[in-house]
Amino acid sequence: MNPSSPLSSALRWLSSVCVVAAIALASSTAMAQNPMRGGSLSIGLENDLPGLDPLVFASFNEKQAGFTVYDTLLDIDEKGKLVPKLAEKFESAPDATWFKLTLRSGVKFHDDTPCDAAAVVAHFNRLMDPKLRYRWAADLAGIAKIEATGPLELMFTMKTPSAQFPAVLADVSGMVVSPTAVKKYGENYLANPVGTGPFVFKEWRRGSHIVFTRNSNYWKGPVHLDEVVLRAMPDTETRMASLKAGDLDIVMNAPSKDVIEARSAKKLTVLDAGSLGSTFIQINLSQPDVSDLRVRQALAHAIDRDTLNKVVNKGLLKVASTPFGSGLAPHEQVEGYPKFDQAKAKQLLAQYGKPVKLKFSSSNAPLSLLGAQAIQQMWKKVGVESEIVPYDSVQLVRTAGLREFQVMGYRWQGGVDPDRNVYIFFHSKGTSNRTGYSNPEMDKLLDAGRATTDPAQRLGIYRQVNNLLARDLPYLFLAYFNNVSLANPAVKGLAPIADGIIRPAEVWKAR
Amino acid sequence: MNSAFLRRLQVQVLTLLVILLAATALTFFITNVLPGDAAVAILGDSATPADIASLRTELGLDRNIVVRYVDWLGHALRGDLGKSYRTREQISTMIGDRLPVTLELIVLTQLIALAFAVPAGILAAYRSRTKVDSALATVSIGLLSTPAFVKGILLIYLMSVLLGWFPASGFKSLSDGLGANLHSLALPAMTLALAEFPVYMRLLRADMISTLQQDYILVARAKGLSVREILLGHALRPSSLSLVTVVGINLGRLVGGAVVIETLFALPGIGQLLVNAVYQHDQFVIQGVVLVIATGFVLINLLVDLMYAVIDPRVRISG
Repeated sequence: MNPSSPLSSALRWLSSVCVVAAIALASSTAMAQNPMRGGSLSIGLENDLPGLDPLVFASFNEKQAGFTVYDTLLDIDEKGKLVPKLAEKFESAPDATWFKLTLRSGVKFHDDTPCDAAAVVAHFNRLMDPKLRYRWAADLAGIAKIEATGPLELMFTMKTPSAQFPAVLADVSGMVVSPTAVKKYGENYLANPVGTGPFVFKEWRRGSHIVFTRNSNYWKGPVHLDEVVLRAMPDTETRMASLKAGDLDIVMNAPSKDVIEARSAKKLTVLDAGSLGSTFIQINLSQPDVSDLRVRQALAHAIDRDTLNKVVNKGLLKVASTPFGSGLAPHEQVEGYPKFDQAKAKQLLAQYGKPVKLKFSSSNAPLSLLGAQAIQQMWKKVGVESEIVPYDSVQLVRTAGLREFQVMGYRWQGGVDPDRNVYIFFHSKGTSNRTGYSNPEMDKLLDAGRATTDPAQRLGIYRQVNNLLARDLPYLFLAYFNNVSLANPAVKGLAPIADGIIRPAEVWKAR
Repeated sequence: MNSAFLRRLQVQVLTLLVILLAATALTFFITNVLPGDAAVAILGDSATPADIASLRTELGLDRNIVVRYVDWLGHALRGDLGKSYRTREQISTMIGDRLPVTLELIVLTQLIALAFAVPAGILAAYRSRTKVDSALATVSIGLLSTPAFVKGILLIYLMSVLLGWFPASGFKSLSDGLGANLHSLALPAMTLALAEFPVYMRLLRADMISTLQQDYILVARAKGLSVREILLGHALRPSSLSLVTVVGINLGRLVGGAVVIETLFALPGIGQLLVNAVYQHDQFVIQGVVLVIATGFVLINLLVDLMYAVIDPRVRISG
């Protein structure tokens, strides 16, 4: 094995710089051309959706539909900064206990209902209704009160300081639905979405495709495309073949091998949006052996993340040492994360003194299993035996939630605010604390991260969070997963936004 | 004949009921053995155990499995298949939307397969043990031993990416026009037909060879009838009994076989519905689809039985 030589890492750095430069160039030339009006944009999704209501939005696929038919109150730009969208102005209390939104005037839903403060209040009341089981209800749990303080003004009062809250408004929770349509359709709103977004829902052929047509009264100005078609295509090979055959314009979350092929063939546009979250091994700290820090350190030292990335992802992903993807400020700002060092690992295990035998839970998806097997071999080299226990995705989530695992390969798609990637997992009272990690120092940091809206101060706090995680190792970080899309070169105006979702209002097609 | 026929019909209907009961019960219990459930699938990653427990109660998943099955059966008998956990759609609507796609795919598959298999089978029988026959045999073995998804991907790359003749994926319904509809189904139907063609051809060839040795063929030849008249007019019909049986049984089997192809070509058929339902632990959808497939399977077998009588009068007399 040849772990990262200085030359190869320099080359890798250079190539990533080139890629970034290429994207910057591509997007600046796109800006320079005048957008053309017309055309249909088809986007391939991995699965059909459960519904077109933010109440049931969970995955990437649903968010893409959401950003087509709805507008979020806030949005993030290419640098990951929060920017206005439906809300034209946004103010926060210095201690992050209240937030004031001013909505854009004159915006209407597709059914002509005005999008005013009352509509937004109704939207949040609906999401917060426990009977409706909104999937991201935890993000809204900190709200003490929402009130309309004017026709277009809203006040969110929080129970505790919540600096992470604004980012929630740039995600699913911020996709405002028409109160009239909700009333009109009732339970069938799922299949009759009405938002303020750039495209109006037209037709949904379940299991096949969803068609949206241009919103000719879009508040932001003219929308270029005639229509957007989201197509459910479960098979990866078919998605790629359809893209090459010209039946499809965009493949989202493209597999590494296709991205590499596309980069060398140069026939497709590669849109590398960066990442928000990471893949990692989570450790149940109440389990034998792994409850000992020396064992966790040894396991971390034994993993050669560069080789792992090469084997599983053809070197495409970026090796991770923090929970924060490239779209978040504390990304890779860490000191002391264990480096690949087999001698050190063996030494730590010798100090521990007992043989270590692990149950290693993993997703049964082919790439995840391949990664698990590689890690199993790496651990074996330092004398740790492990048995891989594969699960389908639903099972994996269940097993994680019930904490019925010792070590487990897992991923988190990441949130728009750093807090979203750490608070619920590492706070001793975190709702998804699956490792059982509890450290008063960490709790203090995570609470402090919510109590200030000052970006510099928050960056300092999450740096400390990174260092603490590197010291205590409830997670062994593996890689950041980049959201890479491949597109037909005629598609212009694609912006690399770290959540990987395409903002279709700006997209147009050259002919 | 009439009473014998009725008796057979009675037996068939009884069998149908027993099979449906067994199939649905078995599916119900098997999907239940799978760990994890719809509540986890619906709530996902960030749900707390308390959330999951309360949704399980709401969905009735915490009740005894026998109680749940009997409850489901009772509703199903009254025509109510329930709602999907995931999409909250009526399952009868879901199946109603998807079934025509699968049926059309299967019928097209059979037509394509037979259109090639019948002439090829006759030719192979007429020219048995010649180069033509062995070439056809080689092609058959090649097609039979390649899995459907491999043939599918090869066809996509050839006919769609390279030649651009057919779309690689996607479905156009009849409302988009018959041409567009058939165009969108061409590749998946061809993929499936490539697996059926060799079976049909070999079957017809074997039966035809034995028919051609019968005395009445000799008589026909002696009367000076043309080869064409002998093969198509005298030999084909009595040689097609096994073929009809297999085509019939395959109609049912193809519904299951279409699962892979529907997923590959992104067709909104019943197979894709079933696969997604299994992934999502959407139990009532699985039940509904199994019920429909099992019913179809049994009914087709009944139909095939009746078809014998039409094709071969000898069955009518002895039956």
